[in-house]
Amino acid sequence: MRLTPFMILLVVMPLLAACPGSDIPGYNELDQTLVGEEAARKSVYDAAASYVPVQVVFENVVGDPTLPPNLKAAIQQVDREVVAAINDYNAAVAALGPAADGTTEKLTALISVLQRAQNLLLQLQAEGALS
Amino acid sequence: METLLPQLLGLAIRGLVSYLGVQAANEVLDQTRQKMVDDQRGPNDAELNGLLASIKARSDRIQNA
Repeated sequence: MRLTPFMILLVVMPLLAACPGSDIPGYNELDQTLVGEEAARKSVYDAAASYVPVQVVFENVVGDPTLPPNLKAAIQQVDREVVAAINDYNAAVAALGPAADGTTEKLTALISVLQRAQNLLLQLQAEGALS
Repeated sequence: METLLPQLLGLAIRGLVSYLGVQAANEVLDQTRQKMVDDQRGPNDAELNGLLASIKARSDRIQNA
């Protein structure tokens, strides 16, 4: 049996799953009371915060010298795209407002790339399980 | 077995580092969320910009790894 760096993720993923983004009572209910700029900032905050746990794992894995270059490049690429999408969404909220069509498009794009980041974690996990 | 033990140790350490990193990041986020709930408000500019700055800083380290 040979342990690969990807098997790290076999350990990390369950731990990550045990760390939900927020279980603060009353936090999600704020969405029903906030309006205007506050509501807009919270939408950006929540979207950005959802990437933090994934990014922490990426940071830990990407520095492993045994990580294959193609997977390192994939992590760096999706990280660049997520950060760019967060910035685009933040800029759209500020310029157009949270309800504008252009802002909704940016949020949809951000959700899409966040999903790809999650999928990359799952892919790394699967490759570790198969090796 | 002699080669497996160091690998297992490395795996455990790296898993622990990731776990602690995620825990620490979530703790910071939850502290801010708790303040918002206590004050019944959304994130202010400093809190939002702080989060975006921390993501950017972590991204820089990922890109330069």
